[in-house]
Amino acid sequence: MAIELTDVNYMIRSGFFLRSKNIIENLNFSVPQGTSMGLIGPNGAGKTTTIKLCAGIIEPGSGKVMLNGISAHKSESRKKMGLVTENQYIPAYLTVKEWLTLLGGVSGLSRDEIKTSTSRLFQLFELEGLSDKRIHTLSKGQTQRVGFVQAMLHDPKILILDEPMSGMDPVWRSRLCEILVSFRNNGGTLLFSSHIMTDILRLSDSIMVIESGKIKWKGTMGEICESDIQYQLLFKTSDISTITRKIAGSQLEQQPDGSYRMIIRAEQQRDIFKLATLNLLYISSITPLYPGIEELYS
Amino acid sequence: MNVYFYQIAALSRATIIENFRNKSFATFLVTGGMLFIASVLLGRMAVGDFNRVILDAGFWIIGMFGLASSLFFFLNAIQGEIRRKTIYILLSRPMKRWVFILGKFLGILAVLLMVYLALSTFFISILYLNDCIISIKLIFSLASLFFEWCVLASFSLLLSVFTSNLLHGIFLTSLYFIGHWSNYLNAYAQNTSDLFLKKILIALYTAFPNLEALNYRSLTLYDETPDFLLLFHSFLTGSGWIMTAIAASIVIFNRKNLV
Repeated sequence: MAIELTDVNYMIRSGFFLRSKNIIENLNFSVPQGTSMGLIGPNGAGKTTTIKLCAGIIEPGSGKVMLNGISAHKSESRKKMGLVTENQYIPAYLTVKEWLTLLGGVSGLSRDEIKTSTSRLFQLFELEGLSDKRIHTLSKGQTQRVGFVQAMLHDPKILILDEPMSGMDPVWRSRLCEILVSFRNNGGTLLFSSHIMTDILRLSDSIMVIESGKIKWKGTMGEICESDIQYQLLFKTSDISTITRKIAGSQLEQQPDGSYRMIIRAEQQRDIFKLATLNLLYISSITPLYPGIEELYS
Repeated sequence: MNVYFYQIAALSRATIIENFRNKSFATFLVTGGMLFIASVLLGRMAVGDFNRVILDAGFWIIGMFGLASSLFFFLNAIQGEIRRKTIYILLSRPMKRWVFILGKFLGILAVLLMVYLALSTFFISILYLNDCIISIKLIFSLASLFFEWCVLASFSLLLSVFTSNLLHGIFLTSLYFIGHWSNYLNAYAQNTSDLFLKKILIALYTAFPNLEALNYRSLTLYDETPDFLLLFHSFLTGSGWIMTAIAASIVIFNRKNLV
């Protein structure tokens, strides 16, 4: 297993009387090499704490956190692990190049290795020409991409990402998904948290829902898809009564532009396509919905 | 071992760059320069013994700047990294925590050395321009002052791993003054008949680094002959304090949970 957590508990002490508060309770999960797991849950559920535990930044109160069979708290385990945080925490007075040289240096890379790796990643993340800029002068999206460059600088086999798409425009979100999918397809392991469902659906092999520091549900994408998949259909028609007669029992809403929005079950797709071939309706889009995830999340 | 060396060097280098680019670094140097100029004016106002006044004021300025810069530069060294959360990215790398502490300490020590060299150069230039004698004893006195800066820096590092900025300032300032007056604690302990008080005073004398043991300003001020054995003892004592403070910083930081 690339990432393995066994009976992990984590608590903090807060307030004047230092009362203990459990942040993570009895967490058990594993992410096999070459797969990806998405963490979802409401704010304050313990996603970031789980990420910090996996990145070896904090040590569990009890239980084990292992990266490739070595305790995450030991520095050797982090040789092939990269971390991207939600906000890029970067020293204001350093340039992009200086920041990456520092991180390459503490990762044990030589100057030449840092140079080669940086130039390859600058090309991949389209950051050429920004290496001598102070990091605080970059835009949010550029800063987030610098975050990816630092995480991948030492050619990691495990990437741990906390809300990685935060602040990204749609084009770069799509590009990053491609980069991360290719990383996973080349044997890399991904553990990430996100609030964006499309990213989770696109990137995850498995999903874990956390709430109040406990696992609420975990399973594979297949298990979610098997459960009650639905589609959102947007279409135009001049004869809505025929449509409602043929596709019975579906939710229907008229849109301001005169088109219709309908939620249909998977088996009703065939009927819809039949009606379309008879020119009774014009399909604008069909989008799959995963009510299972939404229910687990809420 | 090589890996640790590269990691420490990378951290120190970034710390130096970061502090050099901080505008406060230049402000420090300009303030120091202005104080030296003020010390010349003060000397001219004094009745006689002009040299003694600028020498005394110069040593005092460098001594106080040791306290101010050890406090200022270390306030941001560890707590700043925790506050800005840049520490998360650094500690997620294959780096041991003691490497982080040592890298930061050496980086800031290099910055302190730059401040010290700039102030000392300014001080010597002022003395030279005012026809004061610049002897080897002056160099000894200045070197001992830098050693005091190193001791203060190591204690500032220790405070920065577990206290807030306010407490850091209060503790380091207290340590500086008590450290310079701790000989009086010992003298009082030897003369008191109250056994309980004696024990407390001796405990305080032992707990605080005796910064007066590193004070060799009198070599220049009173033209004393240096006792090399005493200098060596002072060096050993100071080194002991520095190593103890660094070791304590590492132990505390290793156990620190970064929530």
